Amino acid sequence: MADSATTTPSPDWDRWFAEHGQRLFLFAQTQCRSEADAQDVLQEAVIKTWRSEANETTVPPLPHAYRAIRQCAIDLGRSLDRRTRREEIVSAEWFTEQFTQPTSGEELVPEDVQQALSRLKPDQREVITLKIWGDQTFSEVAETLDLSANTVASRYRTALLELRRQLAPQPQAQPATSPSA
Amino acid sequence: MKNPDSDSHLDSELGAFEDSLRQLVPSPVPAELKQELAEAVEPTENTIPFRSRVLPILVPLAAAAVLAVAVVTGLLRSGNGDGQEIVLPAPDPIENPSLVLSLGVERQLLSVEKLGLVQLQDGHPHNGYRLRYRDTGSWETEPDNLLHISQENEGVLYLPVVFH
Repeated sequence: MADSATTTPSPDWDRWFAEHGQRLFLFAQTQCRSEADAQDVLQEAVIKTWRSEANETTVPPLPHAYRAIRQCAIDLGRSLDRRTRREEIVSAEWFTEQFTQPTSGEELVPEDVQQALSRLKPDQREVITLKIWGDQTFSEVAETLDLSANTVASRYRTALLELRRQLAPQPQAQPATSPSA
Repeated sequence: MKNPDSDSHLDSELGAFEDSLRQLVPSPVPAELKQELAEAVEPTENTIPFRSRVLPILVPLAAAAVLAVAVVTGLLRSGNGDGQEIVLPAPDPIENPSLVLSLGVERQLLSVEKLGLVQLQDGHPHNGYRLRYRDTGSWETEPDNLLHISQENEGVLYLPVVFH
């Protein structure tokens, strides 16, 4: 039935989602406990934001979409908590690839970064995600999270340090030396 | 006050680490989800958001609709021409508290407001409306969140209804 209906989304939607879809999806993934939840949250939040704020001349501001995702994830988390359902943080891949020539000389493995991110405190994880991959300034992150920009900046630095600590190469274990007789 | 958007507070080593993180590319949005979103944000299309979740509900409803079409079509034909009397079976609130009624491609039963009065509306061939019998003796539509009601479907006919 409805499958047969072909849709032609507006060019504005195409451009907007092509530009921001991946970073919105990443943010949803970092806010949810499973891949399925992240998809549901992204869908609900984006539809809500687009329908309420998009018109012929404007597209929704990105911070509003992030805020909607965050709120949907909180609502979903509460309902899941009520049902005492617990899941591990998302197992699906958050990142696809790394550019071939890292600018810093530090080569990061996407899976390691995902693991390290998932071990961060939630408030640190969302600041890192919005600032690094979300194309947001500190002011915009602050708007999304209802925090001051200075708090966001401070939290960002703390999270970055923690992330780097987690991703630092582990020192090689020293071979045990046998006590001399 | 320090500009919080300046990254000058990061030492060079931490800044380099930040640059490395930026090299990671977020995974793409799954194609199926992207398609569903594209359909859902297009307000003029008669599509069903969250289709994948609705389908399990719609399949049994569709089966019931086929049955109801047969019943109601027969009932319409048995009406009195211009009098357009429709005879609907009284639902059993316990055994069968809801029915799916569709009057075919030319008419859709939208709501029954009071006992003895049925509101018909020109319908879309893809639309169907779930009706629920209330103890007060009237019908009411289910919330229309399952199926989109097109704004084109204006024009109302009021027909008498006799419940068996």
